[in-house]
Amino acid sequence: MLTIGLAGNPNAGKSTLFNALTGARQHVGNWPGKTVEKKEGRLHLSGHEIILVDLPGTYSLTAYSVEEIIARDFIVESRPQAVLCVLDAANLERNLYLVIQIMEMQVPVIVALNMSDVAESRGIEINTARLSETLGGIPVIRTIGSRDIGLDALRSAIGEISRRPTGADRTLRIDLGQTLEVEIAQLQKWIESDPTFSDYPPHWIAIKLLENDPELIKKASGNPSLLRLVAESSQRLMEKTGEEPDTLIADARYAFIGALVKQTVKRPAQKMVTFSDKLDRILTHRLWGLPIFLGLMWMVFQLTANVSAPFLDFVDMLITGPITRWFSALITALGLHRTWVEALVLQGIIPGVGGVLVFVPVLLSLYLVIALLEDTGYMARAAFVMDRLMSRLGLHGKSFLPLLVGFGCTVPAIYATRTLENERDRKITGFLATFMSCGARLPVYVLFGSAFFGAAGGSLIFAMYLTGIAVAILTSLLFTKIIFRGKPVPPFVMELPPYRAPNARIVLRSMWERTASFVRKAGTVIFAVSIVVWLLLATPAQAGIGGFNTVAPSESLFGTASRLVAPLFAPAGFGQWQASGALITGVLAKEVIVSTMSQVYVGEAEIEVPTPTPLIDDLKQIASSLWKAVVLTGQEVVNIIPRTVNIIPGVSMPEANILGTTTQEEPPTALQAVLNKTFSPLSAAAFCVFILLYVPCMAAGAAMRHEFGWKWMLAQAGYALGVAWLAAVLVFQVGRLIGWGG
Amino acid sequence: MSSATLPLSMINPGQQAQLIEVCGGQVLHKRRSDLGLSVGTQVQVVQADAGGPLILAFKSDARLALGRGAAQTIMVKVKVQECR
Repeated sequence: MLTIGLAGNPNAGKSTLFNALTGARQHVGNWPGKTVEKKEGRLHLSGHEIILVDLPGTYSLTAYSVEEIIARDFIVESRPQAVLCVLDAANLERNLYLVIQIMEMQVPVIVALNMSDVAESRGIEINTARLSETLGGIPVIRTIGSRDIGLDALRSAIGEISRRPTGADRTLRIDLGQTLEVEIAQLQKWIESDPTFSDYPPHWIAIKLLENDPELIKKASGNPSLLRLVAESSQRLMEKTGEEPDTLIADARYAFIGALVKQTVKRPAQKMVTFSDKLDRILTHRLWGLPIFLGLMWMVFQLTANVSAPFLDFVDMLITGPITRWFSALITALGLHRTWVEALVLQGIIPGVGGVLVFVPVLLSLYLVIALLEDTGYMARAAFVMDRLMSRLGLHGKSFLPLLVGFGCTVPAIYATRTLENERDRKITGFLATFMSCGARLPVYVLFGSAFFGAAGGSLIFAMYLTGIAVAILTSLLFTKIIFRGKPVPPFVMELPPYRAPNARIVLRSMWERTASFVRKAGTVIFAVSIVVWLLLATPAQAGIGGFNTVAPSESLFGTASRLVAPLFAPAGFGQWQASGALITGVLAKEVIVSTMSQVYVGEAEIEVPTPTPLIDDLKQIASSLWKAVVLTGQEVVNIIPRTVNIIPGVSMPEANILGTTTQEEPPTALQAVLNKTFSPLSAAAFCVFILLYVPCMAAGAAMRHEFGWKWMLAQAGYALGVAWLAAVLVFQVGRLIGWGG
Repeated sequence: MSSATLPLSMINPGQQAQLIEVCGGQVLHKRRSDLGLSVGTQVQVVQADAGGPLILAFKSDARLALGRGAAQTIMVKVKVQECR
């Protein structure tokens, strides 16, 4: 089967074109050994099938980023029949730079001049026939990916190229100028005789070695005479021109492109102040820029934290109500009632997997807003505005958004780091995101706050948020000033694409894809861990204290493990096994901490056997809850206004409450009474600090592994655990010294 | 009309300049090649605030945001109009 690669700059509309060409026939995975997403789609062309591989968006094909290495390894090693290169027609110079580099690899190229409507509206005229001719006759096709225009021409060009025998490419060799070509020709002879490079185009290898490309220099390390020749060539070039060879080569490519564009593109002579420039004067203004950005972020925060909450409750209701009942009925029908199978499904798998699925509404709303901000072009401006503050921490402005999202939920925060360009910033930001106190930790603060601090409970909650921010700032400084010290901070250079109206199809698709990716990848891990935890709870630690699945939690492997861990927390003031047990289940999801505590402290809660209800009642319940969720979502959207106004001290604007529901759950008072006996205010505070900082929940861990790999995930969890323990001990011991009681 | 060589960070908003040299590190070299800021390119500073990043216009419709630090290592030539 034939393979075609799809390459292009970021923001050139590559994904839109990929989706338009392949429709639903897509397969999403990862590039082998990398955390970069790999998308493949199938394309049917008059009988035969072609695989279209979406390469990561890059500006060039050096070896500076994972994305670039993936893209060029694909072209060299997988030998696609051709590469379809998507260009932003309004930014031809820069986009052609990538085309030239792909052509240097001597692979047939098809050019899609995308977003040609935007270019036209700016008065840019491109002579496509001339462009094609100057590029050695490669097909050049005008497309508008968002409106499916030009797809047929693109398909027939792909069809035409795929009928050609492999290897018979008509790629043009760009003349890089006498000075460079002399050196290249010399190197080429040596490269041709080196078996290491027999699979590679020698001219390309010569260019790359002169560019001092780390990957290929490493490959050539077995051939010291070649490397010596490269060094000599570089030396000669430096002496002749006073420039590094890589700069010379880049400038030679741009000289070629400059001449090419002069012949083929007419643009309005006057450099006019564009609509985007006018908007930027306000949105990135020295004074207004920051308040506007913070206002928008507040909206994002409200949307992810509150507006999605009714649907979160709805999904929760679906899982704990009808779905649990249906499974229960099914199990009973199979004759497995009161067996371990029933317990595994109803107490292990459904709550475990369900606990993750309830995040889906949060993720959908978050990704909707992120996609909107990205598609309009505002995201780049947000980074610009925040850069001034974030650069003090050694990070870029773009890191701010994921951190803010972290106050809602850590999982989408980790995925939001994808908007960052370089690996260093992504990893640090993902690392910090877990210290932003997520919504699931709030119930714990509420419980302890009202049990021990009464009316001052709010201060405890506020203090927790501040502690999280402080730890994140210190950790960031630790990274950028100590661990990565000496390593230069990547320069902040970023493209600001012109503003545009968001395209509904692109936004919805992006929202859906990112959410589905989470459910697919995190879901499988959580399914497995849920089963493991249930097994630990069901297995007696020793013989004679109860059978499998009938043992009391305190006597199970889980209870025993909790007891083993418990002494570690004695210096922090909460050395009871119940507290450790709650912390262990809290790793599954912070939401379950309170419920575990009420189970183990107040007494073994009666295992609830769901009573079967008629299907019609279930459906009625689902319908009415769905309706309620829709109404409440509308209400929450409206309530953003009073909530925002109420930040101003002394102002109290009432919030809408259509259904007359109370949003604050009543803390279980029986639990509070027990806690008052086993915790002191000080150990309660230490416990809260620990909850705030210790390992992220399983879903966040899965996200972290998915994005950054096992190593980083474990490093983060270990660090968080260490910091949490130190901080909790510090609070307890210092508090005791000051005499706050223990 | 004469010309002066300055770091990009010292150019006023609205002013035109010609890029002559990038002294920054390897990453900056690479990024400016990627984005089409080659030597000789005419650039215009669209926006610049003391201490913060600046916005640059050149050749295409897209704008380039550039951190203060990066802007200090890019040397440009400005035309100085004497009759003003």
